[in-house]
Amino acid sequence: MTTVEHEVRTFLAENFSLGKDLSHLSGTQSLTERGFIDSVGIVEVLTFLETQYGIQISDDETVPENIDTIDNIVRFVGEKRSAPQAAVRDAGA
Amino acid sequence: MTLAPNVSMDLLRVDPEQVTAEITAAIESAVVRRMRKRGVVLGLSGGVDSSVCAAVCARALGPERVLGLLMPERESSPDSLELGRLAAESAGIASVVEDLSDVLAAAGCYSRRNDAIRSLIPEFGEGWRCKVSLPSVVESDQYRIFSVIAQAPDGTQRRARVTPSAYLELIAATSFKQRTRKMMEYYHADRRNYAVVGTPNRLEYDQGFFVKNGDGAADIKPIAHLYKSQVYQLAEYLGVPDTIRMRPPTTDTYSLPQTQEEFYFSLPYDKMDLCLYARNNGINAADVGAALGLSEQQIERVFRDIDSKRRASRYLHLEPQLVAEVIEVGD
Repeated sequence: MTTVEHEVRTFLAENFSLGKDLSHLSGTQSLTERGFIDSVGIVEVLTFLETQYGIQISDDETVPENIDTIDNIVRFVGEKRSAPQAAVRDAGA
Repeated sequence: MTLAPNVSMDLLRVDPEQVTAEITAAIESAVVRRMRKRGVVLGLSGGVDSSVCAAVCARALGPERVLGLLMPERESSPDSLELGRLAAESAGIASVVEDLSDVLAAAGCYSRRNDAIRSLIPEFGEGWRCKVSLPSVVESDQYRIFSVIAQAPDGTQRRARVTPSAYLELIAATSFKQRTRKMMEYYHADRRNYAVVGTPNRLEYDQGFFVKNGDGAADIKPIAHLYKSQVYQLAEYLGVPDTIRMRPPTTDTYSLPQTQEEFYFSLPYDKMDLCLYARNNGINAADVGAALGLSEQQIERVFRDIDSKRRASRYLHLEPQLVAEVIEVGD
């Protein structure tokens, strides 16, 4: 498990599962379809990702392909962190 | 609207005379025999739903046993008061005006909401107006996340996506409006030994377009089983004035004009009605799309949004949860 996946799983467990273990939740399982997180939860996830990883998520990136599963989140965060704008910001910091 | 031959708005056609008879019988049975109340109170927003409810209650109980409440506050549209008066006159019922501005100000409705908006848009201040908005479910696969739109006195607009804390504070503060209206309705109901009528249509009831213990609270909801287009059919049959029937559905909750479509539903009410009917009756997305001039993919998104709202609003419909049944309480 990567560091990002561990941090995302920890965030989800602490905020949506009373801190209980989420190892049963597969990386490909939808977070929204079974109601694990709702629309407020999506906003919480976005805010967590922006804060934790110093990325900016635009409105058109708030789609299931990026947010709906743990695997999608991990991939999306990886792509955002390696994008040129992140590199420029990191270099200027 | 152009419709595919096998899926049409005719699916939502009702016999308004028969439906009215069913509703008036149910109101009389529930209010008089089951609740033992002498009449009903309802809030009149100037919209078609509350106007139809006033008319059917007047038919069921006699207009002298129905009281309409007009509850303006400093951010509501002046049209709402005038159209509410018109609805009362049309139904032949008495009405009372209760201005809620002072109560809402004392509770901090406006100031708490403004603080939440300022956390997103720091310039928001005196003379600014605001509303919240959702992205279109038809145009993209984006999650439906609220944005705040604030308009400066010079007309320029700022938009910001909500944060979790701002969103929750915003909804909590604005919900004072619906809950204060309901508090006032129960005050007038209690002093007359009346019941309170809730006025949601099926779209609103099913999709959770109400505030728990606010406009969601009532003793009877006479049109909660009717799609919005069916409510319009009843409105015409019952003689609800044209000016009320022609008014676009509005939330009348925020200081900037805002349609229900922009705030909550994915589509205009007639299209939304057909989508909800199709979802409820197993009609496939391709047929609905052909009927509404939308793609199958777009209708699938609307279906997913319907399902998502049902899940999210399950809590709103829940009765208080007991650990064990108390069998002595009930019918």
